Amino acid sequence: MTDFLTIALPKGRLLDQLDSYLRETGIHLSFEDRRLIATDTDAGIRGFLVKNSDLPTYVHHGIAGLGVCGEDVLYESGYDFVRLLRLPFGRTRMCMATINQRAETLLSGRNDLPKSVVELGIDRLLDSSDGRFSVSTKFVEFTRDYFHRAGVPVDVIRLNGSVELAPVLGLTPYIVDLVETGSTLRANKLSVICELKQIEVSIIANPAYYKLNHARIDRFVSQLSESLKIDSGN
Amino acid sequence: MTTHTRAILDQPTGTEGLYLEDAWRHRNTAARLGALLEGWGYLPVNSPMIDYHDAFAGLVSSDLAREIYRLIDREGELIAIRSDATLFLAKHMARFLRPEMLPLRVYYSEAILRHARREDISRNEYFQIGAELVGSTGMAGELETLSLVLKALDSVVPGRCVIHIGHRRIVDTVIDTLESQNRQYCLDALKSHDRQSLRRGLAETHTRDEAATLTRLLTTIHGQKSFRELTHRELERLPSGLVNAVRSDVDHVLKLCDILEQALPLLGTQLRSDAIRVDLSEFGSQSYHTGLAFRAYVEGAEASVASGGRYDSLYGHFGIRSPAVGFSIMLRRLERLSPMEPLPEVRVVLADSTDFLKQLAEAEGQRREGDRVAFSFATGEEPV
Repeated sequence: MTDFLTIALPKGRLLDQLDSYLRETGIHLSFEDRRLIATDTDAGIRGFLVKNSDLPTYVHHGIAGLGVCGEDVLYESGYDFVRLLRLPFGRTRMCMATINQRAETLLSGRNDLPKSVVELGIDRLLDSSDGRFSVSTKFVEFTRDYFHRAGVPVDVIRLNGSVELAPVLGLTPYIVDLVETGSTLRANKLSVICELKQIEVSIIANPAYYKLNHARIDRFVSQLSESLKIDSGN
Repeated sequence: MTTHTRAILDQPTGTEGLYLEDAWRHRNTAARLGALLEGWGYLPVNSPMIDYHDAFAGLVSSDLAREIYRLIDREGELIAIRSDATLFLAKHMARFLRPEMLPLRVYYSEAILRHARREDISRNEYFQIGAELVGSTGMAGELETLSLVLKALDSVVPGRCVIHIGHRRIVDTVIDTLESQNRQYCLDALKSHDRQSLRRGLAETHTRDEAATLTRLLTTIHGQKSFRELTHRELERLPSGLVNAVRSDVDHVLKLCDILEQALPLLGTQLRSDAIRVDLSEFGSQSYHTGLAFRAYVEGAEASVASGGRYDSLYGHFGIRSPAVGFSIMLRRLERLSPMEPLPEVRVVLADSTDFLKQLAEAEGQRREGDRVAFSFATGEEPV
């Protein structure tokens, strides 16, 4: 067993944002020349660069003790993790969207977005021809659980990308997807009709790894939260 | 390749086979731990492999419920396949347990069947060895249980385990102060050690200072001495009613840890006192836990290797009011971390059909001396 704390980091924008805060706490993980593993010997930490959707798997199996991951990906993984710290960046929204014409009908008379499908009105979502309600999404676990908690029977179709096509081509009238700026939706003549959940990015840990290394991990989280100027809850 | 390729090459999830050296090591370790438990006065038991699913209604956590394999028997009854040794054992033992038999010490060493996702290879655990001390109400029984689990783990992975000790009633007492709609939120936050959410949830009912104090109390992992200092310093920040309600359980945990630390050298383990930690986020994974709750961890294992605690109402569910305390070791997870012992040497005696009786007598003589003896057949042995 190594003496380094191990952390899985997601490729992409999130890493760039995180890296500057890590540097403020004195941690320098340099993934140059397409390397996927970087070590800061002085800080005693080793980072693995992994695909976002694979990150929970690496932490769950204990290959990386820690990880940085969005709630959307964690939810789909179904694994249990220790939630160490919610980060103040990388936030996004899990939303339901449909084609503009339908959205206008559903939201007519409203000035704001409904905060839940119940508020939106479940009966209005159902397809009038067969009384069914179907959604395309990458986030099938989240979507199924969300609508079941709201008491809505739902048919969920899994797509792996370009989810916006589903209502346009007639696969399903609705989609559930992450929305940041909404520009992709607008480009495809779609509109958000309901915000289902705020999605945050957290530092997570494998539960056993945390229990065995809690002092070092708490110190690391404490340093990082100071650098981020956020309250870790301690 | 035939269309049966998957059936031939793959294995349904929820179980595993053990072969050769791996099976030998497993049986050897289980036998060693069995001998340890028998040395402490525990008798072996075997619980049924299947039982009526309805018997466990209300006792199974949602996590465990998802893992249970069920089937319909020929009379149309819903049957559960053994997925948790403690539950099955409690139901079975309650049928013959009588007050005059208590306290009763039993141990099990048996396979369980749990659904696991095919792609999740990390926590597949299909064998449990554990012990139950039925009829013990006090601290002595809990100390016996904790001592045993530490000694058992240390015998397989010397000097490497730590034990995190919590108490279900402390958590329940805090949670009971909250509005009902907020309780599950805070329990989930505590389970995932999510301090930010826990503090937010507690602050719905308590002041910010109280919520912060409770969060520290419930989520900080301590040695016995530093936990004593923390409680001495911080309990006075809480409402007196809450302090009075948790005080005796907090003192109970402290005393348990204190005595256990002193017991380590007597147990002959290689563990140091820092292997014993107070961790109130350990409040028992199953709904039947009522008091002491603990888990043990070993560096290199991606999940806990043992868990246990007190469950004073479990046997009552099956018709006999009796407290109980016990533990379960996930043996396969532990075995993978222990060094592979060399297989015992096997002597070879040549054998053939013409002189078999003489060779058999020779081999039997050596076996009586304690040797392991195998026949070796000459190549070119005549086919039958």
